Amino acid sequence: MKNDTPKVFKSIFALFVVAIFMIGLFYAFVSMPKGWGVNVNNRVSRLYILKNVRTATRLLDSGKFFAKGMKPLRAEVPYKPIKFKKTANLEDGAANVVTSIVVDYRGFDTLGEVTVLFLAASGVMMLLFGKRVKPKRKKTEPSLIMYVGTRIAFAVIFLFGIYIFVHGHLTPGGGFPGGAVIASGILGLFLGRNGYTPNHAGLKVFESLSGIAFVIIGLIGLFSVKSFLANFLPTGIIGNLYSAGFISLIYIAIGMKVGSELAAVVDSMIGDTKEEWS
Amino acid sequence: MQVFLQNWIYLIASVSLIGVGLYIVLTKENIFRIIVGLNIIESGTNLFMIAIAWHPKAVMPIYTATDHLAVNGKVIAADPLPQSLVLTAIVIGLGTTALALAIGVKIFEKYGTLDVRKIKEAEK
Amino acid sequence: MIIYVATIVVIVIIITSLIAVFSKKLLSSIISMGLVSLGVSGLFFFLQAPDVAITEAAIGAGLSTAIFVIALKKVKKGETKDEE
Repeated sequence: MKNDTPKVFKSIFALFVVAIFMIGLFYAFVSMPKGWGVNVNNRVSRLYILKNVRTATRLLDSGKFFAKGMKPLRAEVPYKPIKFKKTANLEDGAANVVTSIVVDYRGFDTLGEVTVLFLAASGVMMLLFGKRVKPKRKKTEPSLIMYVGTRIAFAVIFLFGIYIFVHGHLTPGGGFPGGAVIASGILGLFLGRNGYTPNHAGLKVFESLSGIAFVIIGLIGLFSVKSFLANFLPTGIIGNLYSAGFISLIYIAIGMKVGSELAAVVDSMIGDTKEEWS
Repeated sequence: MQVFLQNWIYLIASVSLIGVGLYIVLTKENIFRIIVGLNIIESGTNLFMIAIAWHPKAVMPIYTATDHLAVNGKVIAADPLPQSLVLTAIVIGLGTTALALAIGVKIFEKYGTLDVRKIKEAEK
Repeated sequence: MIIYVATIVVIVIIITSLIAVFSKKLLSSIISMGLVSLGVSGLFFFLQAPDVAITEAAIGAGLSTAIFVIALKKVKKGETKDEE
């Protein structure tokens, strides 16, 4: 650090860069839709909310979509009103539109995201791999109240996580937050006792089984409806628990996968390891 | 006043978070501090993407909350597409943060420091 | 009316992120990052995105901060020496 630039110059230069960046962003924002200017009816999302994508695709294939002089095209798609607990046999029966986009309309995208998460988790495990060193005698043991309390709280948190991802198509939530909630419950178990180790074989089996289940559900769609990750079950009445076809199945798989992956990440971060290879 | 706040306050918040995170990344030397800055940038980006999906009379895009997401064919809900993108991006952000922290721990085991300047000197 | 509550939350998270910049100790910087995540999750709820709010509150404010503190415990020896 002999010929290092002084700290004042560094912070002044950083402030300069940040100022240029922020001025540029504000110039970009002036032309952007904001507040009252946002109109969802001009966006693709209108089709997702009205659950009418297949009609629009059919119009597009037959050439009628572009016929009438390029007006706001998506407004021309016929609209049929949706009533909660009444309308049946929709194109996608989930009451939560975000869920129907994540799992159904953009399911292949979600498969890619789950793959990225798996790669990140296995990278963490590979970097921190090694022989598990037995932790030294800590000065502070957690008390008995902490030990029992975290175990009772883990049952409640686990149940809540399962509730979140089973009801993903009806209420806010889904597989990703449900898995995160379960992983934070397991983190509580780590805090409750020194030297706690989860069942590693169980975590691995859960993770691989749920990942395989996601792909197999997609393949069933490929062979029965002729499109990967297509909905092959009846969609039922909107708002019922047994509705929306395969969405709850896939969300159960995603929830188990995310929960076991994040728990494995926390486990490999929290344990002291010693390298055997170098 | 209210209209001004509705138009601008969320954009101001997201731009400020991105700027603060960029300042941390540019000036600090500790590796963990740089990762903290990257996390703040991520929060600001997510806030920006949700803010451009919203308008002042929007309702949640869930049919359980209300029957009237669409009145006479006009949709009044918030835009669900950026929300679904951000939902997965947050989880991916946790995975990449954990990977960066693991690399930081390995760097500390090899060089015995977290300062990027000292690591650069030790490389020579 | 809810826009005024959102304005107060925005001011709080900007001040908290400035604490993350100027604090000397790394631990307080990490804690203020978790508080920024919590405030942003509240803003997500005001922006009519409850799914994203639940995810951010569980991950950004809970697990992310915990993983940071655990990794900080592993490098505790070098951190105290390197700060200034």
